[in-house]
Amino acid sequence: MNNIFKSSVWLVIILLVAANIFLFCSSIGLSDQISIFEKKISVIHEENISLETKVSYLTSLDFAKVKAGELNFTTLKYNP
Amino acid sequence: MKIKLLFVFFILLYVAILMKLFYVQVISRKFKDLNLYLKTEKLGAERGRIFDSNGNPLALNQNSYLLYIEPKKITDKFKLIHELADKLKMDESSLSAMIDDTKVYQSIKSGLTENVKDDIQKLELKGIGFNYEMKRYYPEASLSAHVLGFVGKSQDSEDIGYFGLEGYYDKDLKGLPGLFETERDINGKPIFIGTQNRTSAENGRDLFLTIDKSVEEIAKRQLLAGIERYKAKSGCVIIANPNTMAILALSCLPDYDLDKYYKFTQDFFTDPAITDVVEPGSIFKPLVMAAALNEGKIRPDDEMDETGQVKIGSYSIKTWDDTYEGVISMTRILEKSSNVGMVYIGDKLGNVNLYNYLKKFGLGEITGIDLQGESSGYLRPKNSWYPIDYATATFGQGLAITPIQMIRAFASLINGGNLMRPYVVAKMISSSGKETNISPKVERKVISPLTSEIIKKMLVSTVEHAEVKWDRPKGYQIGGKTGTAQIAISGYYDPSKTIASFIGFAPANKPKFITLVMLKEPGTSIWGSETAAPIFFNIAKELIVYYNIAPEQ
Repeated sequence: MNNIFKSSVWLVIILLVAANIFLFCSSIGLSDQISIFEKKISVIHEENISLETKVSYLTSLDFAKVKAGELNFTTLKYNP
Repeated sequence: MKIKLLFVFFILLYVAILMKLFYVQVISRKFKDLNLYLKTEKLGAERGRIFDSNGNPLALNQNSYLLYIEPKKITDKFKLIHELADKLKMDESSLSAMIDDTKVYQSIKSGLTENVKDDIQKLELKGIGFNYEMKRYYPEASLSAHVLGFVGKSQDSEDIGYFGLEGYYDKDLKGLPGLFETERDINGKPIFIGTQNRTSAENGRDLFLTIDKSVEEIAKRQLLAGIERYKAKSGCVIIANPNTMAILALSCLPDYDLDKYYKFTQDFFTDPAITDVVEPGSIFKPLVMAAALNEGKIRPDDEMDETGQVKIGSYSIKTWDDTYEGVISMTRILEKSSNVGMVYIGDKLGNVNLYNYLKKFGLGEITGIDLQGESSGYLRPKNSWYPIDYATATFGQGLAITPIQMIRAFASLINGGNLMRPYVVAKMISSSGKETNISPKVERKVISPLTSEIIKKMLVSTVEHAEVKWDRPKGYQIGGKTGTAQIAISGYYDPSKTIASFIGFAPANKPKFITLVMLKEPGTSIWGSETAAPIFFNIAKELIVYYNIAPEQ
């Protein structure tokens, strides 16, 4: 009976240590992933802003004016 | 025995560690309030964007980078200075003088574009880095410079809006910064089981304007062409919906480049349409006419005898060409823009009524337009008015009014008599999607709907029977009035320097737009009928096509 109890205690200790090591390693992995996703979010945000800027320029009257100027469609030149 | 000694040794070691920890975390002042792992980061809020009435962007945010150096990490200083100076378009000597080898970190230049950043990164220089920041971007460049305003820096180096919408709605556009508290290890990686508190930043609200980009382009293009053609010093065009006073376009020239605002003086930043105080001249006459009609003092078919100049004290008031037609109707007074006729109407209306109507039309008070820097004009106190002041006020002289006050007052003549609050922002949307709509606001009733209908017909007749024949859009009834106000310099009027103006609306039955054109000191002709009016009709032709308005006649 005593042996069974001792073995159980050891088993629980080993399991707890193993679980602790597993959690520790997992948390390191998850921390790495958080860092990676933080960087990705930042990059995607910058890309999003960059694309929005490019699209807005291509649909702007300013761009149309530049193209019209290149094609000699206009004679009005105003630069403040 | 040995095992017991070892046990005691370890116990003592643990006790020592515990005591040290107790000292560091509880007793020591140095570490008491310091969490060595907890990093607090400020999450910047994105500035709200600005769109026109059709959802086209007028102001956005773009990526921008701050270049910094870490002098202690620089391996080849000569190469770094040479290469950076070339990419940043700076003098090598200036850049060299900026670098202080004793410092750990130094910011070099902010506002760099992605292209410049990429070019510098390709050089693979040691000891440099970039911080991300945001910069305002105006896709339509200076199309709506005065309406938008610009974003500069405050004394604390924080972004702050100046002038126009950027200034007026700065608090809404700015948003609220967030905070990110996180426990990190020595490598800066988050500790998963540690503290992670995040208060998200609340981005600024997006503004949706009443301004229509296409109408704004028409206004600016025609104004520019007009200023060049008539050799004027400056000019303004305001286009609005007369029923709501929603501003459809507001353009004044000269204006400035929003992206390079720092190259211009403050004179360029103020919006003449809301800040410049001018004498309105003859475009003011319909307001006095409407007041007299509303008070029942005159009727459109009443007649007066225009025999010659009118004497007020020691002053003589004459018509613009000093010719007199004899018996003329009230409508004809507007058609020929007779100062003598207006003095007659002012006399009929009475001084008390005239002054009260000037106040009712909003002279001397701000209109409340949602743009920064509006001035209230000036209406002198009643007790400082002389008989000559009442006489000249009837034809728009001796009054100080801003263009936005003028168009608002005129709009009340044709919208049934409602003096509206002009506005530029129609809707605000927060980052969470909550919409705030801004409705048109009636400030007060100025004239009756019947008077409004009568004055509208008189103004149509004024355009149709004007002394100058304009190239008007065929098949459409257009109402309006010309104005030519001499500019007072040192207490005297200079006849060669005028403010030429035209205010008109179309179509006459159900006006879709009202437009005020003002030119300062036109060189080819001093008259509003020969300068501002043609610009108005060119704009009207384009707007009729743009709004797809069917011919009435």
